[in-house]
Amino acid sequence: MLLPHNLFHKEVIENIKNRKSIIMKFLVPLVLLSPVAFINMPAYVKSGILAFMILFLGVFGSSVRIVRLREQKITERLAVLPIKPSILIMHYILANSLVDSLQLLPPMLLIFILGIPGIAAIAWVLMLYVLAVFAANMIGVIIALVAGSSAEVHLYAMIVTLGIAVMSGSFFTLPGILNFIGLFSPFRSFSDSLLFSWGDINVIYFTIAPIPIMLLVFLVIIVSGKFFKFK
Amino acid sequence: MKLDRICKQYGDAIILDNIEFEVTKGEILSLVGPNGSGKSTLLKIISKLIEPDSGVLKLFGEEVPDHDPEVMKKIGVLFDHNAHWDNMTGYENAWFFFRSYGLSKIATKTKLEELLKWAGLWEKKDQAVRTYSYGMRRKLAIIEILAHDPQLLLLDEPAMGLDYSSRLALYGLIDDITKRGKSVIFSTNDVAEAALLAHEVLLLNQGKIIATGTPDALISSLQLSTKIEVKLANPIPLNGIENIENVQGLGIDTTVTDCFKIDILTGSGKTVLPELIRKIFDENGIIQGIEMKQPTLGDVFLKFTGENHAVTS
Repeated sequence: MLLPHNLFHKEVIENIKNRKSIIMKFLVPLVLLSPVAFINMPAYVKSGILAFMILFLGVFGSSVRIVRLREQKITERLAVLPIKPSILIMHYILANSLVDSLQLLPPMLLIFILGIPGIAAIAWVLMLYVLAVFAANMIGVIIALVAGSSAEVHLYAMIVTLGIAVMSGSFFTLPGILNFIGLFSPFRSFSDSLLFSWGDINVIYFTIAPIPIMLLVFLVIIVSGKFFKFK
Repeated sequence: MKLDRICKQYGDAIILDNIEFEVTKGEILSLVGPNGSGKSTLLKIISKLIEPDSGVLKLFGEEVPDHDPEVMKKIGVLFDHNAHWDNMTGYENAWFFFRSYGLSKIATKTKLEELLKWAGLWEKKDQAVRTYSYGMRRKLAIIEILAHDPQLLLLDEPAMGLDYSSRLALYGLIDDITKRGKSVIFSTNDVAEAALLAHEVLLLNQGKIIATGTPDALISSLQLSTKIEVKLANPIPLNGIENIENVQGLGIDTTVTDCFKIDILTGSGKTVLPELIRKIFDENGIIQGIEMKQPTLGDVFLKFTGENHAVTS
């Protein structure tokens, strides 16, 4: 029997245990994204769609789930455990990032491989893929903090997801300073890494990818205590 | 644990108003009050889940920061809800909380088995919590807060939803815990429960402490009368009974037709009763039954919350 020793284990085990849910989790992205691998479309659209899926699943998955935990009052029970809020939130984000990474991996690999990647770029793509999933989950958690209810979280997640997708400039080039800002998006870094591995672009700003991640981690740690304060 | 002038307000509504009290080692304090009197908010303030607007809270002798793991290791909090991960089994849920409180795998296994058996949940431990009844969830939540042997237990309506035998087991457990030097603060709507368990009772109404003291002291502070109802097979003259010391009132209950029933009001039931029986025998009365209705903490509650009390004062 798999037993949860901490919140990370608990989140992973709960995902694994629900067979129906886990099948759906793997099947839906595969069904939705597989056509992208075979349909003839520009490479930047393919990479943009993958980046958007990571953003969408990560943001919605983590924000909706954590608001549900709050509505079920489980966060009250977690709040009185002898564990720092930042650690609890990081366990939650890491566990959900792991599940999301695995969930999107099959269609991602399919599209990636059919794009005939350069072998040397594979490690970069995988690393940026994991970072993008991690970032999406952190954004979801921050949205959940602002949202008061499940209904609100859907609205905010939709606005933020679309905003980031546009600002990342994955689908179209943004003018001037906006394009520069877009380079800091973890989702742009990931989609650019795909284009780079397929030989569609020559330059990629890998080195700036950790900056937004570190900022998000910092922000999550700062606000984590607020999840465990109540009215 | 000490609270000093704790206040909490939501908008214009005053939830807690200058709450002050102290709980010492081995003490059981009961927060009694009607719905919405601020009991749950007060417990959440002590658990550091809610920030008071003003006032000082000292836990284990000092003001502590929020979410201090070292402090939380010494506290066990039972909420008025039984939130669990419903798709996981009772055993998995409890295992998570035990491990989160820092128990080793071996200690968790041993203690969990012991507590699940105590609560009668051992046979159902591998069932998903969604299949549990309300009472079973409550028992599971109680088990989970006992994992780390806390110094201070904060229980919000602990017996809510429990069957009679489980309530008795819980009362026994609370008694055992305090005998080992731990302190317990529990809220309840059930004044009988407070009277049975608490060393000290704190009556709350509309966010204010309206009375505090031991259950006995609170009852005697109202100077309520004890009512003795005596059923006799035959009528007797009442002159002798009237003259018994401490008898405050005497009457014949004319609504009863199958016997001769007299009601006696007294400030001291225990001293009057032997003399009363002697007088009845002296008058050749045949006693069919005697019932002594002593004032309870319920009367104190009703008196202080503005309702009529059951026993005549």
